[in-house]
Amino acid sequence: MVSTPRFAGNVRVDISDMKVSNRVGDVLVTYALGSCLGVTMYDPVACVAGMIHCMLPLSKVDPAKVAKMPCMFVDTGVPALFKAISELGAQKDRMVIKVAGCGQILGDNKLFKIGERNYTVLRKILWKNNMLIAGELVAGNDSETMFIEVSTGRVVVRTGGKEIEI
Amino acid sequence: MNYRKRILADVKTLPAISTAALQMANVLKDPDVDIKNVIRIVEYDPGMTANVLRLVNSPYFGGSYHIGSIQQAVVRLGIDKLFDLVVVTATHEVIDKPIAGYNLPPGELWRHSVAVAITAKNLANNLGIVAEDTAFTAGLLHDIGKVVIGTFVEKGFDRIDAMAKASNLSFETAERKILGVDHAEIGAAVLEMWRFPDEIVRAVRFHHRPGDVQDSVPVVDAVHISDVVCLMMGIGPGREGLQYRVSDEILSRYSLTPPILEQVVSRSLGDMQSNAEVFSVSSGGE
Repeated sequence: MVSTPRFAGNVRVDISDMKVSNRVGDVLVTYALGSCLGVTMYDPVACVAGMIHCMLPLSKVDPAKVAKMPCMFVDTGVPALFKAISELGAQKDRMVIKVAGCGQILGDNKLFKIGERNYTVLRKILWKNNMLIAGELVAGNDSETMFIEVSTGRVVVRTGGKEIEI
Repeated sequence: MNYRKRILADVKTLPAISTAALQMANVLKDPDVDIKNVIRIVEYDPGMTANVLRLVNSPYFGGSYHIGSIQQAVVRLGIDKLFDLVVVTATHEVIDKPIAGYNLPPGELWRHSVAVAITAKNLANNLGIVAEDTAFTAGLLHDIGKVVIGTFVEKGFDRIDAMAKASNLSFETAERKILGVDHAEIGAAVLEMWRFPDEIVRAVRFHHRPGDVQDSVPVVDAVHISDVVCLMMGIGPGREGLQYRVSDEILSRYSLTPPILEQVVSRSLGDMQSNAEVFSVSSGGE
């Protein structure tokens, strides 16, 4: 648990949105990750951070949306985040990737396992690209808010009244 | 301690909504409703008329033509859609407030309510449920009981949360066990007080336990599924997070598959984002 400093984001990442930053004072934040996927990417050498908030696993369910909202889907959003952070100087072999969200409601209905499907698609993309997850807090029943501090790369998840560094 | 009576008594303390909305809800109970009477009710309230015309000419509700009067709106869109617009206008202020207990900041319950309304309408459309407009109104109002019950949930939150987690119960089931009543029943009491149409009251009352409705009622099912989906998408989950359950029995009535459900979600979020200004929806947060 992290008590100080309390995280307060100043660059907001909405649902189906991503942001990248190399400004040292910035903290990127995304609120209320339920079954949605939150991913941060960080290059400690270039001091660049990126964050995405994806809703759904695969863009094939609504291909018309991809051009307008690529970050809605994990399969189009995560590569877009990688591309955007690379354009700010981040390099793949230094990339630190952390994951939050992918939560579940109660019960075991397959139709509603959107969180699990989001996580599976992310793992496949990373595996194909030889990239690893350095930290995660996923698959609970709580809503999560995720922060990344550009100056340090620290990632904190606020959930259930606690702040947990991952 | 059972708070049921006290909470039900608090329903009466809810601020009044527009007389036009109450009168219109009342006349809609009559199967032989007089359209001229409905037009008169809405036109009698200039603020309501202005807002309804603003909404009716927005991209979400409107067509390619301009509508300049309530009469034109009824003729072109029908009376159920006019009621949607009246209810959006009349209830915005009540639902837009911060909600204690669930820890919803100002605007978040309204954002959730609009999202459920839009999703329920899209889902009804996708599943071939005819009453799209009723699904929209019921979706908009499904959580209005939280406005009343919130302060009681705040006092009992730790016990409700502990019971839900210890017994693997959904939050509203634990809410009912601890407080003697849940937000869905309180919401139905609010709408009964306002004399809203029975099908909307029923959808609100049973939105967490649609299996308890005697016969299959597609509007109830559409609101139930849409509520859970919007919470999963992070639109309006409070302190209780995702401690809700979807009814397997209800899902088995429809040929929903993950791609169909995800299509509805994608379309609904798109509708939400492109119409945020129309519905005065904020972008959420803490």
